[in-house]
Amino acid sequence: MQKEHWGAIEEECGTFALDKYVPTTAKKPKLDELRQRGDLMTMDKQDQIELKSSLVTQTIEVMKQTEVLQSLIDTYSNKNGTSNYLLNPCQMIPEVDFPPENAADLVSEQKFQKPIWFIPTVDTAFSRGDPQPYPEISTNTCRHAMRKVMCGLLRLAGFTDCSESAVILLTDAAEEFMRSFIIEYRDFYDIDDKLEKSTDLQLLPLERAYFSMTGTSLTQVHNYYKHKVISRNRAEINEFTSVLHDYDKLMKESQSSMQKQQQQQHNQHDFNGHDFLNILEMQPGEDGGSSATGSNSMGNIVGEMLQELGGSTNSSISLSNVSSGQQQMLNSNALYGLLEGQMNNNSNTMASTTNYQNNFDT
Amino acid sequence: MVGSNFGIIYHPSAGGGSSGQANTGSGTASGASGGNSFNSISGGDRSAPASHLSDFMLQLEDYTPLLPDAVTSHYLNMGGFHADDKRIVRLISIATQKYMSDIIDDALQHSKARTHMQNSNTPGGSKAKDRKFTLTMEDLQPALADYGINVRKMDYSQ
Repeated sequence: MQKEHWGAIEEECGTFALDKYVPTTAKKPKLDELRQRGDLMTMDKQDQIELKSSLVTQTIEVMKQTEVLQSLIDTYSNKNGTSNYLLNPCQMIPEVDFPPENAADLVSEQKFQKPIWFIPTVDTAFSRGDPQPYPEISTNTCRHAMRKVMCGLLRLAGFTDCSESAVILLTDAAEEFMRSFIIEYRDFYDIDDKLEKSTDLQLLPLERAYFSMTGTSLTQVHNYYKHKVISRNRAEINEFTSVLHDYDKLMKESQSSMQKQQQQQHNQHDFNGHDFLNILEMQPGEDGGSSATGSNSMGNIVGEMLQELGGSTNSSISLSNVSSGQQQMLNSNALYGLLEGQMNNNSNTMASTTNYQNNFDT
Repeated sequence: MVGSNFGIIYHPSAGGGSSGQANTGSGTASGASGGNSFNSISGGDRSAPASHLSDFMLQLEDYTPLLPDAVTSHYLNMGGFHADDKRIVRLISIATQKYMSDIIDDALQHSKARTHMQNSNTPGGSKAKDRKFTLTMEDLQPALADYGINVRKMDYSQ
């Protein structure tokens, strides 16, 4: 009886001659056909690894915003005790727009306030431990991801800057810890006869390995997350709210002072324009006798105005001493020019009168 | 199955157990304690920490680690494990994050102490700079040394 061996070459296969020449032109249609089917196309294998921890991201963002607000407060205010006072009321504080969603509560209060054994288990794929494949990534990708994680942890801890060598060293340390931890974990499998050949993940050896590595239980991880991650998040949000409140107070103070200032300027502008023009209209029509008292009163008003404008009081004194109507007009014209931002020192009466007319024409 | 205690056997009479999850262990990991100083489970009072850990495992979905699970699974695969249990993978991720966070916190304390020393030696040191902390090797080295990682420079760079 003829034996059949597994993998034996069939007799039909023997008809193929190994050295049979197949021309390239004959191969081409077959290759084109395969290419059209897409069998030979390389697989574009891209796995996306997301470094996402909304809680940590929010904490870091809130920390940044607090820093921005604090630096603005330091710039525009003067700290006196516990209160901030505007450094310069004339300076407008810029408005900042940080949406309230930035400081939203991402963690349910109940979840981490109660002890873990009081929280009922929800039947999910995660709690059931349904197997989930993870994408295969290279060691370089892992190191790159860990470097980013280290940067996030550094920022979360409170560092604002770091040297690159320190980040690399931290990454090395993290990688070394992970390797040592898993080797230790494997060792506890190896000493157990039942687990020696197992590749499934078990909790008890993990707990033992963690204890032998760090001297604490894995339940401490819960305390870490609760106190270092969640509490930190809450503390940063509270600080942000407090700083934002301070900034709002400063902003309101700034706005009210600016409004007051604008109102004052508006009132001043009304007085300067309206009253002064009344004076100018009144003067040319009056005679010399009454102009003496008129010039005195006008000199006083103009003197006050000059003081307000920052001019010297000598000008007002010289104005109060004149008696001629034309000279009054001349000096009034000079004052008008001063108010318009230009100073006319003309001594010619006619020319000044022309200027006066021109000013009124304009 | 929900409520599995992952091979950890503990007494149902122990306080703090959740929703009757006790004594459902398959005994897969009921081996010897390994002769180490792991007293929390192998000792007489082994039920409470084990039950806490078992309960904790079921709640881990809400604990989002900064370290991606894919990275942890990579190292687990390298160690000869079939990393398909999300709960264990996540626990290792958070444990690693905690370990590194502890080191970084220590480094921050070193940095603060060093900055404080420098400011106290410098007359009129600015207070604004107190909020800025830069991690340097100078701060990181002693922090790592506390955790058994000794950093030594090469001879030529000393």
